[in-house]
Amino acid sequence: MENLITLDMVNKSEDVLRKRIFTNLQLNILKKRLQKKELDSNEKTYYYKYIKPKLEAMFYFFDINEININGREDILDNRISEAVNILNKIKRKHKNKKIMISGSFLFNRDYNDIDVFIFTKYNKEDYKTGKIHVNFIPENAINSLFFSSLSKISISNFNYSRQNEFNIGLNDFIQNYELLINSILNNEDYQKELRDFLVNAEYASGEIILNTKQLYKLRKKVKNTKVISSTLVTALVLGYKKNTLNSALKKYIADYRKLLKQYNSPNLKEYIQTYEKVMNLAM
Amino acid sequence: MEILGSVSFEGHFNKCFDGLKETQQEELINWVRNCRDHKISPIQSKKDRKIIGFVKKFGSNLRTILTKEKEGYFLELFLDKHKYYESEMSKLGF
Repeated sequence: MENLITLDMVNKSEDVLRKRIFTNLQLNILKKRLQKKELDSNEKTYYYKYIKPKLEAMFYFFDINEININGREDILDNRISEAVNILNKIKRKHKNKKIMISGSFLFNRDYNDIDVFIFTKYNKEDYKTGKIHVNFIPENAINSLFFSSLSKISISNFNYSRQNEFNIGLNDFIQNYELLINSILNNEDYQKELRDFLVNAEYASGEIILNTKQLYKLRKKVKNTKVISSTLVTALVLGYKKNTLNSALKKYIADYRKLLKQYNSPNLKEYIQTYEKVMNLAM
Repeated sequence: MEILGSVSFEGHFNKCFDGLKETQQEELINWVRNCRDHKISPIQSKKDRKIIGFVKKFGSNLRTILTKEKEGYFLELFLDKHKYYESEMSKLGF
């Protein structure tokens, strides 16, 4: 729970904290701990016997409990307390639910929405209240690559162990790519498809799980179908066996060539070109 | 939707269609007509290679899917909110 406090926060409120809540010695030990310096055994006793219980009492008084912060080095300092307040408000409305705040609100000065995710057994309608966008996600999504990416920079009211190994099915990945290309060519909003695609591509090619800040930066850069298709080529070549790729892509190319005779569609041409490149480069 | 023959309506079609503005309703009908006339890009099902589909987004929340046998008839016209669309898409293999 002490990960809710930063050295900056203590420095700013030092006058109020000193003597009213902590003694000089206690405050210095707290600062030392927040600087990640090693405490001697005497200081450790002070910390666990006097300082930590006081902090816990303060959190309890302000109804801040079970807060789990991930990627705090990427979270803007002033957003932590704001996020905790939002979390507590949502918690009162959705009792006993697993709630997580993630997205650009935590790491970017400018943001559009504050993304709140509620993990639930039952499918519910998402809703928006002011800038807060509440998304209901099935509980089993906690084991997904999406969750592992989302939770890398997040504040939640529950503990979890993040999964690090995933199997991205070739068909699912290709479906995701095809829908993304289709949305771009149709001039529709494609941000969700792009987010899923980039997370899949990074994991397939190098087993890297992007955090939301890395994903945000990449999404700003990737704007045309050529870059997306090249990303897919690299990810497929690096992430899948030649035999698997060849047997699946051969079928798709044949199907799309046939379809192209009936539908002169730019998406089909793009798929064919991309899959041919993959087959040429597959190792 | 006589344009398509005997197609089945899926999702909360009537409710969502009634909720669309008149211009959006016309847009949907024109889109369906364009699907019939081969003017819209198809995607192919990964579960059933005989099936193709056409997808369209309406605003931030509504989605429509039209499915067709490659060498045959139109099958389903789905219209619903994006959450239901996502599960329908994965059910159909798109």
